[in-house]
Amino acid sequence: CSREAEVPVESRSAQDLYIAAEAELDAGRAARAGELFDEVERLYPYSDWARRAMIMSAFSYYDAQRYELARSSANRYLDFYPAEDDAAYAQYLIALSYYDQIEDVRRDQGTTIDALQALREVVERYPDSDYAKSAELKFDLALAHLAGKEMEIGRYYLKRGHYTAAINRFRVVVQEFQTTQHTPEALHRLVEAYLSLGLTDEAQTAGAILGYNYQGSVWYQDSFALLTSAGLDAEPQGDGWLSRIYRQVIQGKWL
Amino acid sequence: QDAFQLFQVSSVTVEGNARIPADTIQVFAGLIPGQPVTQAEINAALQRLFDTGLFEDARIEPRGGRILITVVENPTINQVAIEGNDRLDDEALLQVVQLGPRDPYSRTAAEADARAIIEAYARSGRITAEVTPKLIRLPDNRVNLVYEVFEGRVTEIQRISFIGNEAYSDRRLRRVVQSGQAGLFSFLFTNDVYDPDRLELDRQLLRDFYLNRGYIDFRVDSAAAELSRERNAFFLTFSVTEGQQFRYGRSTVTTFAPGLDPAAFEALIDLQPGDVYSQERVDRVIERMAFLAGQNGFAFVEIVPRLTRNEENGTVDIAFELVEGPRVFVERIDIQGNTETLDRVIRRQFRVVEGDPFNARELREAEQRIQALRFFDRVSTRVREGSAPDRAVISVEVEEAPTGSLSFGAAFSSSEGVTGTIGLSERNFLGRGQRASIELAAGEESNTFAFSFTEPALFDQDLSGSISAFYREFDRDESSINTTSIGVIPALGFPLSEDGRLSVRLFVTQEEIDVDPTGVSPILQREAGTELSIGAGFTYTLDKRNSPVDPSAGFLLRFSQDFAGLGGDAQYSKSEALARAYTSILDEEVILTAELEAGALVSFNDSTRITDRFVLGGDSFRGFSRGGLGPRDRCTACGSGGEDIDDALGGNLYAVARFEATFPIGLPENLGIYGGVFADVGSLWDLYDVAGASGTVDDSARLRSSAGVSLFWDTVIGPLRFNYAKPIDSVAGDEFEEFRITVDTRF
Amino acid sequence: CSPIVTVHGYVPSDADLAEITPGTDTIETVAQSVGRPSSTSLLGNREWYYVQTTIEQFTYNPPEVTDRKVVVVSFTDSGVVEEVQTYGLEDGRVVNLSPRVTPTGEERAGALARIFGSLLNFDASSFVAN
Repeated sequence: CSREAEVPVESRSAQDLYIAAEAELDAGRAARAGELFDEVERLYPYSDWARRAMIMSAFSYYDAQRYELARSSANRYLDFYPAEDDAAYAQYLIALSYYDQIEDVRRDQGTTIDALQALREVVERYPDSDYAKSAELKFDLALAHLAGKEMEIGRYYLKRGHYTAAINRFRVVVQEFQTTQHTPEALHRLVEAYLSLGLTDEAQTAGAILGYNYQGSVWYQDSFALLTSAGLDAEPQGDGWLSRIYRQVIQGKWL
Repeated sequence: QDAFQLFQVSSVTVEGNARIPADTIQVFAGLIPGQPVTQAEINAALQRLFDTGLFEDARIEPRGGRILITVVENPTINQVAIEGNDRLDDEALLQVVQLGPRDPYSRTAAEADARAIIEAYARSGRITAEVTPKLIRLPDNRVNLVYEVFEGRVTEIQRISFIGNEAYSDRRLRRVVQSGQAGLFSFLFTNDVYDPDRLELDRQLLRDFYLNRGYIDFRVDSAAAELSRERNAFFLTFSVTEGQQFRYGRSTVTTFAPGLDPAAFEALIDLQPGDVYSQERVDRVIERMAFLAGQNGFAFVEIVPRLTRNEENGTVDIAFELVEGPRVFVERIDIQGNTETLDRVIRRQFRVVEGDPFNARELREAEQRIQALRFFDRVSTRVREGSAPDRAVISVEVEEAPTGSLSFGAAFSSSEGVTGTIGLSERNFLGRGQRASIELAAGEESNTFAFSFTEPALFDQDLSGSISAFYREFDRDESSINTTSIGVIPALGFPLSEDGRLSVRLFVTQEEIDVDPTGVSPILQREAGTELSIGAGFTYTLDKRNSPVDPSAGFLLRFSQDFAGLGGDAQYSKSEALARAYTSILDEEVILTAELEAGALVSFNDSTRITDRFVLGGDSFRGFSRGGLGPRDRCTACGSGGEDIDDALGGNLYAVARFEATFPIGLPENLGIYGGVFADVGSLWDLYDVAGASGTVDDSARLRSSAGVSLFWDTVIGPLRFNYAKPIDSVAGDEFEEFRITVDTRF
Repeated sequence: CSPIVTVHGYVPSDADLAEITPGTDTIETVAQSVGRPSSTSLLGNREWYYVQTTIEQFTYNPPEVTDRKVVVVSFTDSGVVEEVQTYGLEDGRVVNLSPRVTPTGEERAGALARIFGSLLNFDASSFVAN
């Protein structure tokens, strides 16, 4: 195949291999670069090159979206050099590799939880590293994913008329995920659910909390309309079954 | 020295480290300079160093105000290899091993990996495998790690024997144990390789088998697996106590609350006194009772069957007691592992909703419904206490399976020749549980292109919407015509009752008949040309079989009705009905099936076309070739070019009864070969207009019958069926097909 | 063909409810006699809501809520039962659910990638003739 005449790896010096690996990385062949960095560490574990090769291997595999390999190289770096200056970067790479694998909210959030734990570790163990700031930002975004999952399930029950199940899910968002962008919608859904049950004063309370904290949000306008009974007696949305089939079957929308 | 002697630590120096920097070792040890340190703390620091797994040896000694840590680092692994393995390849074994290139070598980790390899061999049936890790030293503290493997022989199960069984033979019980293994998920390794977990499953299978046949006191006293001397074979022996067989006596209901009227519950009992007791039937009664209690708002009711045996007449009275159960609610249903399937596709399999009373039976049924989706390799549900003792959290863990399949099939039948099929289908389209498939079938006599898409839960209800379209060319020699048909069929399906389902459809099909130039019956010539039929129809199915896979009891009813005439040329009503019943004799060794199928095509303009009329023969009437029976237009040297005419015309009405018995023929079960005898009786008749036929056409109902034997063989490439059938009653002009092989491989 | 009826949630029986006497019963005694509620009020813990819904599904028609009982037990600040009210299906309002959804960041691989993704991972079981 097209590989240039491969000089047997064993006989190449650590520096030569390291430079070849960097060349591969610059040429965009990140996975190949990762393999070469690993060779540096395998053949010359006690050289200075080995330590830098380990973190470079983690970065290359992350860049090539080989998240498992990236995590194992980063973890090995942390095993050997927990106190070195690249340790924060290694921990950050682990967090990023989980973060990039987060599924959309309608699917399993296992990797979201892994990402949250890894991001928290970056912030707690290396608070003054320059990765702590962006780790915090990504932490909030990942948190929003977990809240999104609760909302997804809440809407599933809301649409089917299981209002208590929906209410309990939306309360989890309001109580445990208030910092996320889902809180206004969660409060509006509570208004919808309580009104459907006929518990008007609870609906009013939820509307008040929404108005007090998120006056400008579009959700508050919806709640306001519902609560001032403008929207109450309208019969269910007028669109026909054909557009519902298009939205739900073709586009996979929830309503 | 005494553990509390204090050492002043002014500084810490590290010697002997090569790869790991001194400050990192100091962090590992956790000794902070400037603080007094006791001997105990030093020992703890030493332990911490060893726990990192990076050091072969380490010493910490106070040297006049200074602490000296000397270490010998573990060598770094260069390569890991496995030698002497044959049955399990390197790749499979390397996945089981933790240590890899660039890891620090440690003896404990290497021994743990050796044990992991031995475990992998035990799993695949070779419990006598031995593995020894070997080190090959390389310059500058690097090593190669080699696992030397001695695989030993496969430990097969030579014989399964039973002690204490009188009611059922060893052969019959062996089938209970082995048939249980095939089950829904066939295990990776073959049936007869010993695996410890299966023993427990075998005991449960035996218990279920006996409990469903009246032996309520059945016990498996012991289940032992002995290894043969040469350690290559196992002898499994089950010693059982069957106890007495019981039949139903009186069944009563007692309830604890006024709101639960016993009579309503007694009406649910369908256990006829005198019938043989079956645990499965009793469980079903309990489920019906629990459902009725739930509907009356008593969600927390437990139904406990109390059995009172009277040995003399061998009957057992069952008192169903409805008692107040603990009030437990479902707090949350959490679904994990669904990396492809949407949460709602799984969640909608639950009838229970968050906040509902907890019901163990519904949980089991929901798990079965999720498994029946066939999207997952593994589905496991666990229940744990929620935020309070009366709250339960159900967590469902699934492991996604590949649901896309690219299938190449080949079916050979002596009359229709070889047809090859290529199919691309996805059972879980975009993770939404929708099914989409495209199929291409090409053969000597017919080519088909078919597409179909199904949404099982339209508007999130138990309402399946589907659309299918097809293009089909068919060369029908027995009527010397070839047809081209295109059609599109949208359909909706929904449940009418627990086992009854109705599917309604529209159809738009266009069929073109073109006729061989010479030697064709004038009747068929009249029907040549293209016709469009637009209509609607429905199919009602009532499935009361005891298992959809290989039924041995119960029955299936299917009635389908189509009306063509909402536009287009064809104007007809076409109805077909099928009733099939199953039973088994000789303690389920022989399965008997009896089936009656009939159809009627009624035209509103007194004319039908051969493409709409029914055709029998081949699989639908064994012993006769396709179109080999029914009205024919036959005469010799009367065609326009002087040649003979012999064309099957099909018929507007048909009725066929088919009887079949399948049974093992004494070969070992795992060969998958069994035999069958069958008989078909029936007729195809009635045409609207026989005037102008070249010969005399008899379209009255003339009885045909045939009998035969068949051989089934579940080969690796697919189910093979040999049929040999001899026509008994036939009519002059019928065409026969004594021998027919069909093999259908789809991979 | 009969409709499939399912009952969801839990509401204490009228007999148990009758035994709750406002002014004397407290949070503990109510929890003891009728059990804890499916959900409680948003602020403070002063109202307990029990909801039971009966849903009927008949052939192709969408599932229909045919009955709902809502029981509200309200307590004073000191946790003594103030009032027990029951609501029915008729008190519920028909509400237009807003179809909008708050986005949660970038979707994973686009739909097309998923189609080919799932189509091309061959279904191993179909290779092993079952």
